[in-house]
Amino acid sequence: VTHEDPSRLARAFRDAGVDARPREDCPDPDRIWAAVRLELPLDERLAIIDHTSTCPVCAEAWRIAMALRQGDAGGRAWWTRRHAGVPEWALAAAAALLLVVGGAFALHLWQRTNDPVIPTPRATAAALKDGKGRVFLNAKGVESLPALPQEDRRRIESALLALRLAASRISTEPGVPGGALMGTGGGERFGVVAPVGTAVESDRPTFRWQPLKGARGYRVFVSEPAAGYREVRESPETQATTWNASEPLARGHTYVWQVVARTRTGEVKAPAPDEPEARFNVLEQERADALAQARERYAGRRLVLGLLYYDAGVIDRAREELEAFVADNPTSPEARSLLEPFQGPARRLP
Amino acid sequence: VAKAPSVESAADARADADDLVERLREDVARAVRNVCPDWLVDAADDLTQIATARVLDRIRATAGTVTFSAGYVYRAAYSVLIDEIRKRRRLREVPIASDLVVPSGGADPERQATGRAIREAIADCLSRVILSRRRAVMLYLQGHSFAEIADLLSCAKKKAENLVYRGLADVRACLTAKGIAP
Repeated sequence: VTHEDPSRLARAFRDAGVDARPREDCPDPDRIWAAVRLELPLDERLAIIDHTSTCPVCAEAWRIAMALRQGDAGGRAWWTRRHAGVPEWALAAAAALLLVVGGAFALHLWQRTNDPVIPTPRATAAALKDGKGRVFLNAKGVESLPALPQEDRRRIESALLALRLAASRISTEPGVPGGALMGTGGGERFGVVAPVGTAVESDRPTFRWQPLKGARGYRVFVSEPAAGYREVRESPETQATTWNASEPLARGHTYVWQVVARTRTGEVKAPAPDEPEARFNVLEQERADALAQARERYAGRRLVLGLLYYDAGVIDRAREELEAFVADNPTSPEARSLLEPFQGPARRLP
Repeated sequence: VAKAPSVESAADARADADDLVERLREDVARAVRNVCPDWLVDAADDLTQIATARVLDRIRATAGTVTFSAGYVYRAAYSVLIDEIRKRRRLREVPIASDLVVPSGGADPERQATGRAIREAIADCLSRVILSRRRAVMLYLQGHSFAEIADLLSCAKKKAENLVYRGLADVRACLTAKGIAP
C-alpha cells in the first residue's frame, strides 16, 4: 500500500463512503450544489466543505455536483469565465480600490447623517419589506426573517433561480400589442384572458375572455392534447364573458381551450387556429393543498407566496403577488427585476 | 402556405427541451457510474429515471409556458438524485463489524479488511490536519484543480497549492506513523 501517490490517496478517500449513511446534520443537496458553484457566501461554503471532510455521503454528493457541472452550460463556464483574460493582481487591486473608495464613501455618509447603522445579515443584500417580515434579496438568493422551513426555502430558491436564469417566456394578456392569443376572423378580433400559460389550483377553473362587439353568444371548448385533442368539456352558449367548468377537470393534466363567438356574419374563434394555443395545467391535489397551506402560513408575504406560486407553475398568481411585492418596494431594482420574465410578448408556447 | 412562426418556435422549444433532458439523462447516469460505489451503480438506471422524471414533471406542470435553462434543470435533477441516494443509503442494511470482511465480487477478505483499515486511517489522519490545510487537501482529493481550490477557499492559487502540499505532507506523516508506508 502506498500513500505517496496522491491519486491512490484520493481513491482511498473516495472509497471511504461505500457503506456510509447520511447524518442528521447533512446539508440540503441544493446547498452543496450552490457551494460547488461558488453561489454561497464564503462562510457557508467553508461550513459545507468542513462537513464533507467528515461525511463521506456529502463528499460523494459534492463529487456528483462536480461531475454534473460539466453538462450544465452555466456550470461548465464558471471556472474559466471568472478570471478570463484578467490577471489575479488586477482583480485584487480592483477589489482593494473598491474597498477603499467604498469605505471612504460609507464613512462620509455615516458622518453626514450620524444615523445608527442597522446591521444586515449580508452586506450586499437589499433589505426589503415582505408583509410583516423582511427579506434580504441578493444576486444569490433570498434570506428571510423569520427563517423559512427548509422545504419552502428550497422551493423559493428554486423558483428564484428559474426566474433569474431561465429564459422565461410568459404569455401576454390579450390587448397587449404583439400578444399571441388574439383571435381573428373577418377583421374582428377578441382574445382569451385566463387561464393561459399557467397551472391552476382549482379543478373547475373560471375561463375569461374579452368581449367581441356584435357577438350574440359565446361557447367554450376544452380539449386535452395528450389525448389527441379529445374534447373534454363544452359550455352552453352564454352572453357572459366568463364560464366555470361544470364538472371538475382531471388533476395533473394539461388542457387547451378556445372560445367561439357567434356573430351575425358567422363565428370568430379565440385564439384563432393559426395562433398559439391557450394552454393550462390543473395542479395535482397534493400541490394545490400545499399552496393552500402556504397561503395561510405566509399571509401577506408577497415575495414568499409569489415564488411558491412560480415554483408550482401558477404563473398568473405568481405575477400578482410579485407585482404587489414590487409595489411595496417601489424603489428597489432587485424587486423590479423579478417581474422581467413576465414582460414582453409571448415567444414560445408549445 | 408558410408555417406560422409561433408553431415553428413551439416545435423548436420542444426539440430543445427533448435534447436537454436527453443530455441530462446521459450525464446523470455517467455521474452515478463514475462516483458512486458499486451497489449504487447497479441502480444507476433507476436513479437516473427518478431524477429526470421529477424534472420532466416540473416542466410539464408549467404547461409548456416556461423554457427552463440547463442550469435550472441540472440543479433540480441533482437535488432529486442526492435525496434518492441518501434514502437508499439509509435503507441499506449496513453490515455489522464482523461482516465488513465478507467478500463481494470475489475480493479477498483480508484485503478488504486492510482496505477498510486504510480508509479509517486516512479519515483519522485527515481529521488531525489543521483546518485550513484540511479543507485544501479534502478539495484536492475530491478532484479539484489548484485554481478551483483557490476559488472555493477564496485565496490565491499559490496559497492553495501550499496548503495542499503541506496538508498532504501532514497526512503522509500521520499514515507513516500508523504503519501505512510505501
